[in-house]
Amino acid sequence: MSAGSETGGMISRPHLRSLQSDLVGAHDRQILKVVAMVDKLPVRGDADQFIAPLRQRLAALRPARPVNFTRLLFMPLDPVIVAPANWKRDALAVPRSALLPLSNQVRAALGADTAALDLRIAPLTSGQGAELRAIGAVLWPRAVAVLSASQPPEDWAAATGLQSADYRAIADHVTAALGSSGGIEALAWDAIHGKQPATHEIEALLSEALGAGSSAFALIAALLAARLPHAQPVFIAADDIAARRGEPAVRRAVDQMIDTTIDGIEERIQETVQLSQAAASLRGVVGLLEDLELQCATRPSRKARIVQLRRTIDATSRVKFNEALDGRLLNPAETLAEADDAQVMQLEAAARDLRRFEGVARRLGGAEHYDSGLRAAAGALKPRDGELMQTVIDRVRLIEILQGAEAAAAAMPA
Amino acid sequence: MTTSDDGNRQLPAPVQDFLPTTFLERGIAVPFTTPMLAGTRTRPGERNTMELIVPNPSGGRGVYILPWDDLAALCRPTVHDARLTAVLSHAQGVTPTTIRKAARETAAIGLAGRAAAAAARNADTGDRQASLTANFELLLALVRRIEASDPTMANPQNERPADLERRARRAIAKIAPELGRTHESIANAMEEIAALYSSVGIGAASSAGRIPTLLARLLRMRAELQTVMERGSGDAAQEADLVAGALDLTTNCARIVLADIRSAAADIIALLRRWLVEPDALSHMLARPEWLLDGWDRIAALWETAEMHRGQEETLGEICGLIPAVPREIGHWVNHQLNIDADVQRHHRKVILLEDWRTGRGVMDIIRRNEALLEHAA
Repeated sequence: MSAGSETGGMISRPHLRSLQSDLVGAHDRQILKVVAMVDKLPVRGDADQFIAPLRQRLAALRPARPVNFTRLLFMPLDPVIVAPANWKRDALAVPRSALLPLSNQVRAALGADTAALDLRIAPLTSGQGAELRAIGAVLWPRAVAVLSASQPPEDWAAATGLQSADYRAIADHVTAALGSSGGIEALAWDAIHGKQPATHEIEALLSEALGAGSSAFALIAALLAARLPHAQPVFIAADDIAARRGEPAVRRAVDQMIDTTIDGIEERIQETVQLSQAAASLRGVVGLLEDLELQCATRPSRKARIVQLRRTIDATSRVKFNEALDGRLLNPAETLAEADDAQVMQLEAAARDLRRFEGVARRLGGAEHYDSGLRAAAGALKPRDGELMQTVIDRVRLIEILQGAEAAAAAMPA
Repeated sequence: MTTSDDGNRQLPAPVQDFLPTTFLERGIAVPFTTPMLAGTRTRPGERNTMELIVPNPSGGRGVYILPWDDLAALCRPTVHDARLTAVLSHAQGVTPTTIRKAARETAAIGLAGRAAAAAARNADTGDRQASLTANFELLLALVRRIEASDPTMANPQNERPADLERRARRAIAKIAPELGRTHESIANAMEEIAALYSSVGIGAASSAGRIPTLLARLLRMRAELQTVMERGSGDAAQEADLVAGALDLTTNCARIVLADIRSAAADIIALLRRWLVEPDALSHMLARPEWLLDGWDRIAALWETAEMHRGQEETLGEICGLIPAVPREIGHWVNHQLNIDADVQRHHRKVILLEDWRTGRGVMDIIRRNEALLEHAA
């Protein structure tokens, strides 16, 4: 690699195109290595352009990536951060374009302390949740103090394309979320470790948020609904609080929280997720959808929106399943006879990922679709005449993963 | 298993308090990968048959004791387990060694995945190497003993293999008449004893055998459990306490039986004489660690790989369901050094109190995890 490329500086156009073309044909592991190198560059320059054609594939690989000050600052808001084009005024959402200007304001206000925080954040990646939360516990309250009383920066409109009046609403969302982040993170942490949050714990968090206004209440409820494995207790707690208060504004906030949750699902299903994460991601979406169906059973218009959303996700899931079945399993399995240990294990992992995915996806309907897909795949994987015993065993194992022991035993030559 | 009026086969009632008195009655752990067969053991049944002892699949108390032929009626076993069953049906006798041999033979085919196959092959190679090492150590001991009175002889350990072999042949020739046997029978006896010592290790290699290695893993696990016990309250701490108690009992007993075995090898001539006079008694004594620690290799693997699957604290409940009962026969093995009765009783009481664990994960994921255990407990 030339000195220019090491610093992210100058690369000639033809050289760049040639490197890009090499990279497009590279294995996933090689791509992750290159991206890790690019992420480490102090000045990215042409390097960003270099990896641009890989963005979609990168999203599918979803490597643990370095975290910077801005990413950590807005981590608690992840479920409500939307693409600028999807942002609507009055929605409980933060457009991605607002993150950097707000982050710059916090950095400027923290002064010399930012260097120490940067040093702590620098070695971490997105996979190190506990370490990131520990630094966040220091950063988030300080950011709340800064943004509670801040004014729009001069470049706000130029940087975001938003009006000055939008600044306060967005900054308020950020301060409300960061202000409650300690409580949300604690409940989410417990839930990950199998301890379901108690109703009174959720209610206490929501009641505290309500002290900052109905919008903050709706936002915290929406964030909790997105972060906890089951949204239903959050909906119930929000409903109970609204019923006790009897104020139309709080009732409207509950409605807004439900709308935000539905918006969030629509945003999430557009994301590209790698196959190994697809089941977990879909499980979260389906769980939310099921909780929303219960919550909205008596609201025909919203119910219709949820039914439509369910159909969309069902259709998308079937397509995703078919594509992954061909792309990640059947096509690579064509060369199973020449596959080494690592490649066989990769195929088995893909087969298990597919089973996990269809196991969740069939909750949306289409059980017959998935059954016939798995049956056809098992048929295509059947041992062929004259194959080595090792290849036969590899095929039988793939069939066992896809269709169970009975089908595998039937495929096993006598 | 009985057949109901409508022709369906029904499970017999589970045996509520399975407290075996001997190790053979406890049975030998079979490394099945089918989730429903977790913790299953096998033992000789009536009329040359084999029985299965299957923990209650409902997660409730007790075990089912079934003829081996009823396995398929109990659940649909994985292809690996169906093959293992077929291999075991030809096994001669039921011992930890025969089960391990059948399990490795099955895994080596690749039915539990390529990694488990490689682990099975490597474990076989390791055992053969251990046997050669044990033989070498025994020959060294014999040469040292026979040549002890001659200070001019070089340390046999530093000899080239050919020279050591020559000195060993000379030592065997010298001792054979004293033991009333031919040279060949003494050389054969040395090899047979070496095979028996290969798992426990001997001489300079006494910490490298499969059993001392497993013991070290279990002691490491015990230390880690202490952290869980000190860290928390609730289920995990209670489960860690149960596993730690069982580990203390088992590892204490294992250390005693290992010490007996090592002490038997301290005098090589006495060991040879003992083998020639009462080979069965000696081989039974040398097999004690295998029987005592049977099933614990899987538990150690479960613990060591827990972070790759569900996490250590979450795995403790499953481990509790796998803890082997300690039969009263252990008293005959260790009573000269340990009053075992109180410990065994306390352990049995805890196991009964904390018996009903089962996980709720996907079958396919548990099979994969069980296959991964074969890679760590081959």
